[in-house]
Amino acid sequence: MIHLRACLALALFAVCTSPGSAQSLLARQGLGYSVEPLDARARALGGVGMGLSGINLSLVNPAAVAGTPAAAFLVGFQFDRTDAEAGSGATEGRIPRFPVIHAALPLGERWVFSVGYGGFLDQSWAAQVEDTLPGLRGEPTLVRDRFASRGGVARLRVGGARSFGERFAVGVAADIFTGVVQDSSVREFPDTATGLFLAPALSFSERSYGGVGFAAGARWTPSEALNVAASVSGGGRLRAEGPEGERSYTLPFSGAVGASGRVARRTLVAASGTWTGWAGTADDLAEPGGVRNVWALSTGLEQELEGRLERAYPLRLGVRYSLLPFASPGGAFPAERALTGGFGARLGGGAARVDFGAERGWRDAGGSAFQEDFWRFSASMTVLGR
Amino acid sequence: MPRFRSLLKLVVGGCALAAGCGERLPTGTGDDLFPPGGRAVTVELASAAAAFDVLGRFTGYTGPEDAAFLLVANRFDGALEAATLTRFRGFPAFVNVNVGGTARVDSVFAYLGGQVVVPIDTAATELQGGPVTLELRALARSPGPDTLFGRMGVDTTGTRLLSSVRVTPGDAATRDSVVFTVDSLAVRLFAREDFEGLLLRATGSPARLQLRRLSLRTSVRPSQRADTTIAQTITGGPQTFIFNSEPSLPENALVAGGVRSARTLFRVTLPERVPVAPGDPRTVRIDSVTINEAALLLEPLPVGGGRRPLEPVPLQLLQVAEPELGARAPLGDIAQDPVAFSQSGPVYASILYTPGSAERVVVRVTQHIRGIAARDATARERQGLATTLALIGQPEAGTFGRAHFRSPPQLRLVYTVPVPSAQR
Repeated sequence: MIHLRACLALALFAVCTSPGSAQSLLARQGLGYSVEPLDARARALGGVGMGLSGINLSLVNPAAVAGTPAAAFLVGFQFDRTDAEAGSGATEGRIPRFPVIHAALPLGERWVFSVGYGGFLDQSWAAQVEDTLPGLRGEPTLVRDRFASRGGVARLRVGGARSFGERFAVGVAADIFTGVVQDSSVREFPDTATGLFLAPALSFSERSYGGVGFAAGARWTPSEALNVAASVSGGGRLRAEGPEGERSYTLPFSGAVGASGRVARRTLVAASGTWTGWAGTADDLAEPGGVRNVWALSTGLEQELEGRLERAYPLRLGVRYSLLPFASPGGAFPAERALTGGFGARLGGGAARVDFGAERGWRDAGGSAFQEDFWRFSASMTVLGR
Repeated sequence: MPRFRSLLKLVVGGCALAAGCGERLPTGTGDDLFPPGGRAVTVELASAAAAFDVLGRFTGYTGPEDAAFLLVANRFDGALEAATLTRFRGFPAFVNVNVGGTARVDSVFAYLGGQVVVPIDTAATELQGGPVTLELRALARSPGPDTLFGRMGVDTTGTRLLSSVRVTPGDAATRDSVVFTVDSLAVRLFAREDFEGLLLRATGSPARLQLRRLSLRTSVRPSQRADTTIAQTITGGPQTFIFNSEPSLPENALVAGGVRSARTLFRVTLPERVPVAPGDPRTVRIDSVTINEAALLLEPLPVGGGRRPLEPVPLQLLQVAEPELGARAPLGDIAQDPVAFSQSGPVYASILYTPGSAERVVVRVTQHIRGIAARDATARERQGLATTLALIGQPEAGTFGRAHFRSPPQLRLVYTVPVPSAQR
């Protein structure tokens, strides 16, 4: 019954929330801004989402759920504040979202079934400009145009992991990509001095996304102090269907490795790297030249403080550097750097864990006017049904 | 397990709360941040925005008896003659007199002299070049247009001049009334049941004077108190005006208003498709664009026959459901845009045509035209993209002058072409 309720809750979130977040004006570029389905622990460790010790329900490695002792449920929340400079002005954005929701259910001693919903691509952004039309009724008329795109592509991942002994596990998953992006365009005529009193014009269109991919991963724990993990994902095509017809894009192959090592009894060091072959979509994009293959490196440190009543309070620090796949509005390719930190707490004798993370990051594209900095705050809760 | 349930509820509640947080999309500024084709295009069409078909010009729905004003005119614009007719009613049959502390009824009192007061509506009055003389005449027989208009003006045969007043252009602009002094014999005549009435006419320079209701100020002397006079003001009785025959309505104009409530019925037919950009041969369906404004442009034309308006003419544009009935076609809802909305519904203002202005009168009909453009397939098959409208004076007989506008008028359409979705 409890499992059923957990699944119902998961379904509710899947319907009511849109994983992914509008972190950036880069959501305008290419297929959008890549969203990582990480929990707050991984975010605080610089984005190391795999190879971590303990229960790890980030939606990166299908093998990560192996060994989960009881039904587990993760929900992550994220709030971004972005300040950007691009085009002829500055802008800011504030976006709350749920980047990952994940449930794992042990089936017997070695299998763990998992289903999760996480962000993949974010296409939420807006642009605004004021202009003067010279000729309406023979008089200059002020117009204000706003184009807003809202939505993105999310990934529903259904998979399973199997443990082979105490130290090794593999996992496979099917990714079902789904999403809707709504474009709206508003033209307003704010200047009533001309006496025109023109009514605003609104146009609206909707584009839906669908596709299927795969993912596989492995986790190896050679010793109590060391965890190593690797995963791959890709395959299939992402189809987009809108009023202008249908397009499809090659889903990129992505590979990731990560590891964590306990260098002291309460100190964990973690690192990961990913590579994603976005360049394969070049021929599919409306602007073919604006995409490249990218990699990202993350590393973090977790120091556990011992509290009363067997509670543990891990403190985390991390750093991340990543290349972003789609060219910035000025045409140059951007990169993202971030310093991260956070803490967590185990509650209820280990029945739940809450984690918090904060990031200060910067995005820029060399030689381009585009520049963004952001604050990102994350919170996640992992609940174990035991 | 209960702990798990509690935590699950906490998570669900927290997430629902978090989902309520407001968001603000990062918004770039500048043309280059819009997707290709993402800027809206606004187009203005005038001459090609609609086809017009004038179905008819009609008049005679009202007359001087419906007007709230009176008129005298002398060769105004070389054409208009008008005279005011009145018959005072409501003279007292007796007066109450206090004689020695006792109230008595006196029915054999004597009229003293009096004054006929003629209020002038200076805003709707024009003297062309010089003074006019207003003559107050007593009619000897029942008036009628056939007998009162001679070849050169109002026929005064059989009338007797009682009093006259000279009015200069300066007077007409500043004086709010003209006063005719009449003697006691005249007042006694006015009070007789068989008195045919008074005629007020203008002579001298060409002029048109719009008047308000006439009144008679007089006083009576009771037979039992020779040292006493009692003031009386007589305002009752029929008052109207007559004018020479109206020239036929011009064929090249939209005609509306005037004392006979002229109206013009015309059909407006929208095009099925409109250009995607100014001067662009490509077109889109009209129901796919956003109509920012639809306005009827009315270009004023001169009005002849002395019927030109001297004050703003309030007009209204109404829908016509059964135009095939012509002059008897019932008028429907207001077609022009409301100026405000109140709890009881939309608030409309009159279309005001200011005489003497060469500027086009702009009648916004955005909502109505949007409704026409958005007709579904069934309605299009039945009615096409046409609507029939009536331009009328409102209130009817509100002014003597009419408004004439060039026919056909123009429909100015300002519309914005929809923006395609961003291509990725």
